[in-house]
Amino acid sequence: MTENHDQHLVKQALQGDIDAFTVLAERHYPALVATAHSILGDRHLAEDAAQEALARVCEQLDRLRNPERFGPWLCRIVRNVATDTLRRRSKLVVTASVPEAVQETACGPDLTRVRAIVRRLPSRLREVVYLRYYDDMSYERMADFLGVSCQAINGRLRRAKRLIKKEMRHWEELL
Amino acid sequence: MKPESHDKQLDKTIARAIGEVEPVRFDAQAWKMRYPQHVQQLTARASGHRSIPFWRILMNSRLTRWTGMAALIALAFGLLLFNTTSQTAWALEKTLAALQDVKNIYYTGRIRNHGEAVASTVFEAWAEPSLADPTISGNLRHREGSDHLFIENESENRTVVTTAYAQWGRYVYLTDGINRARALIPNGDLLQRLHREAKNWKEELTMDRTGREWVYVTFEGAPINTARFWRIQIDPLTNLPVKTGIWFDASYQGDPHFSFDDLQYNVPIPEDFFTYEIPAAAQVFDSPAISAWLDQQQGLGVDVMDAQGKSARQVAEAYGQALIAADSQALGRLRPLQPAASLLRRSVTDVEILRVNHINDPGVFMTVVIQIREADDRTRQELLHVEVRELDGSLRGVIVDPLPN
Repeated sequence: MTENHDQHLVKQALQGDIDAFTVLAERHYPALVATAHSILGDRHLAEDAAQEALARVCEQLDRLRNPERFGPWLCRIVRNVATDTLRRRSKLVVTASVPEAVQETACGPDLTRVRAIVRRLPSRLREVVYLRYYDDMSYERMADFLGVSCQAINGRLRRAKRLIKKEMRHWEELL
Repeated sequence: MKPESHDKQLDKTIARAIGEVEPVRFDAQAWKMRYPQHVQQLTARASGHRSIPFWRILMNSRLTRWTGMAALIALAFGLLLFNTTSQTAWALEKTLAALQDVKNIYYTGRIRNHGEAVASTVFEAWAEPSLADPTISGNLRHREGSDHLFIENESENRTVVTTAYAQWGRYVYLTDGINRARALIPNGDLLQRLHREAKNWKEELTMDRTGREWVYVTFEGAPINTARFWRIQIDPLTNLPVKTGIWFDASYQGDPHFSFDDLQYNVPIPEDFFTYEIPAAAQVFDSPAISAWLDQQQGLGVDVMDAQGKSARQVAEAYGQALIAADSQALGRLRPLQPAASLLRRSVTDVEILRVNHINDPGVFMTVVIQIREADDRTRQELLHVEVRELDGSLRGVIVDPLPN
């Protein structure tokens, strides 16, 4: 449903309809920010990356070959923008690594630890964790956005949670 | 605690740790104010004219990791030198103005070891500036010799890398994003540093045998390997650099260690030149799909220390031992995308590692060439692709193959 609706909006946007583009942007913005946050580890940088990604979409929209694949295309763009941002910031060639440092927040040390564990997850697992828990996104929306099946999303989330649980147990044993 | 409630508790904990207190909402007005040109581009559906004020390309692949850098440094240095010279006609402004009209660049080059040409490192490339960031390349087609090519396609947002081997045929690696282009010194910081560090700047206007004038700029500058004596040839008619060489010594005698032999601007580029047609017989590694597949598996590979060649060797050794032992379970863990039965069709008596190639570029894998000796004493060579990634919470090395269709 979302996918089909996206397709319609993409066609309208291709005709220069900024309102249609705005609807697309509003719809996908939380997913863009969550994806960028999973890479950058910072909300503000993630918002910047999401907005930059939308700007790139404006430039490149007419080159999108399959409008029905708008979500995955958008996802790739924001991953690249975020990775570029990370590169520029670290001045190092970045693969899938992310900063290990986690800021202490008012949430308390346990949540900080959980956040640190999530940040050490493999990138594709970390990505679905952020998409799922960042803005409570449904499996269907995540599947549309990432261009994979709901089953794959479910598998990744299960695996991510298993790893998180394992790490948490490890911490508990240490303390 | 029951498993279900435990899971719900975990969900809650992760949501509290990851979830944002402040809702994520798109502020359309603020975004439009921030990107007025992009909005205008969308609404006008402009023709797509690419005007670039100043751009550079830096590839990040094998030899080209630094050869690309050298090209850009050469170009940039040329600009800087003009800027520092009052008596020449090639002021920076003129060159910048000339670059305004540059919509693509073509170049060839080569690297030699102390005067000897090394055939495998002859390269040529075509590049267009990125629509999103004109300081880096967007579309790029780069060829080294006759067997290695990579193509970045900005609109498809992917990079295709392909290598042909005489023994095994063509391998194609599909990778996510534009991952060979690099922005180098977009703000001129590095240029300034190189400028500060360079010695013995000299400019010379010379006439060739046909009566054509050229500007040659020489200086001792940033080293490429240990070569550090640069010479840039400028066309005073266009104000654009046309050749660059870097020598080991200041005599500038013989062939340079590294050279760009032909720099051309605004060359005709055929349509679809930045799209790679995958040959039917090619082995295609869809790297993002393979990564996603691996992320969903358990118990694969062997523990390794890092993503270096030593780890690739370790994986290949484990694979060789499994082949000799005809251990189908171990083979399933080490090389999960090949049925163990197909690997064990003939009994193996010995496996020797011939070559390990550790490439750190996105979307490609470390490669290991092994020689397998079979029971009847026949030998054959195999090319293994080794991926190192976090699996099951630890760093694991695994041999990957194309995903089945």
